[in-house]
Amino acid sequence: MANPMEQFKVETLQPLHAAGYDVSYTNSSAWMVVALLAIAIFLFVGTARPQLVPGRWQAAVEYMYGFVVKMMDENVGPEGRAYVPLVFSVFIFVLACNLLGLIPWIGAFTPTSHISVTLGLAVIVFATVCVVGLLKHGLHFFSLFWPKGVGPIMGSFVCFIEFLSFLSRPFTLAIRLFANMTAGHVVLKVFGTFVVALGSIGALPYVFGVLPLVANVALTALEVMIAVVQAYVFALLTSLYLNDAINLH
Amino acid sequence: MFVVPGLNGVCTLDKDPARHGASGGDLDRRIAAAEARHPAVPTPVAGQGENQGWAMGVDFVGVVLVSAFIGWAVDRWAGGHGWWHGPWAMLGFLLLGFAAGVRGVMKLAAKGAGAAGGSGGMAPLPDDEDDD
Repeated sequence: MANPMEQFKVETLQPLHAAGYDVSYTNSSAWMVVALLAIAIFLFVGTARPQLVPGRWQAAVEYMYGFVVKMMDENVGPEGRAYVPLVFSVFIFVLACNLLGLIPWIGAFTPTSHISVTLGLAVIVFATVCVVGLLKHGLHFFSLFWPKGVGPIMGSFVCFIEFLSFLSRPFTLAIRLFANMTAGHVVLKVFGTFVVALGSIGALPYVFGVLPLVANVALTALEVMIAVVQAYVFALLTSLYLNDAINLH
Repeated sequence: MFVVPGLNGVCTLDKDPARHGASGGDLDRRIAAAEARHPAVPTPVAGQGENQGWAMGVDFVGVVLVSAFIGWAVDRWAGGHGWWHGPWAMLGFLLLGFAAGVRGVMKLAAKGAGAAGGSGGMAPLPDDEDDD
């Protein structure tokens, strides 16, 4: 039986070392490059010959951009427009990685199923939130943690608790995406091995083998939905965290 | 070419040049009229409850683990000075992280109950945070 975790193996394609660190070019890096190329083609073709009445491709690009702009307007307000490039980049990169990893070609790999990738993205978001908050509000930024209408003793206690949950944000952001992607791909692979295992036993191989195959088709549809929803959730939480930094309360 | 959702789910192409005039406000008015004829029905999204459960679980576990890690780091740092013994900082931070996790879940549950109409949900917490 095939190992369901084998699909997550990071293989070094070109060994590289810089300042004592292993920065080798891996299949994970390669798939991120593929995702970037796919995004670049999507956006360049969509905006190459802009028309007043958009064609299908241009409409798709405009819809995705408008989706992020609307999300920022709703969650942050007019000041959120300055951060649309960041949120849009994060959103479309996560979406491209998630969706490209679902296509079952040889050597398929999902970079977002590795916590090093998702944590890297989450730390970028977290650092942006901290820098924006401190630059915009100075030390007043820390009033974000102070609850309203509470005495000084209870207030400092709740303030500390709020600070702990603030510190855990990049990790929960990273774990949510990574866990969803990993779990989904494991389930798909396990049901795939069921097709082979059940299809090769007994007198009625097609009867037993068809059941997990049907389940796998349905699960693939579910995984496509999860890939989109998780990219959306990542971008949504990014916008909510930016709202904290920009508007405080 | 303007696609109008017709009756019985059939999309009809509006090719009448008279209704395609250059009057810009006409299109907005017709869209508004079409939307009034077909009121948006809020459809329950599949897996919404599941997503909410995931969010609660991940937030809770995440904040407990991160707090415990901070306590562990404090222990490690203080342990080098000789006067500090035992994993007390880790235990203390673990409890604080638990409190933070419960607070986060309560906030999320209160928000979810408000969005779901509040039937059978938890009473919303006093609005002391930025959850808008």
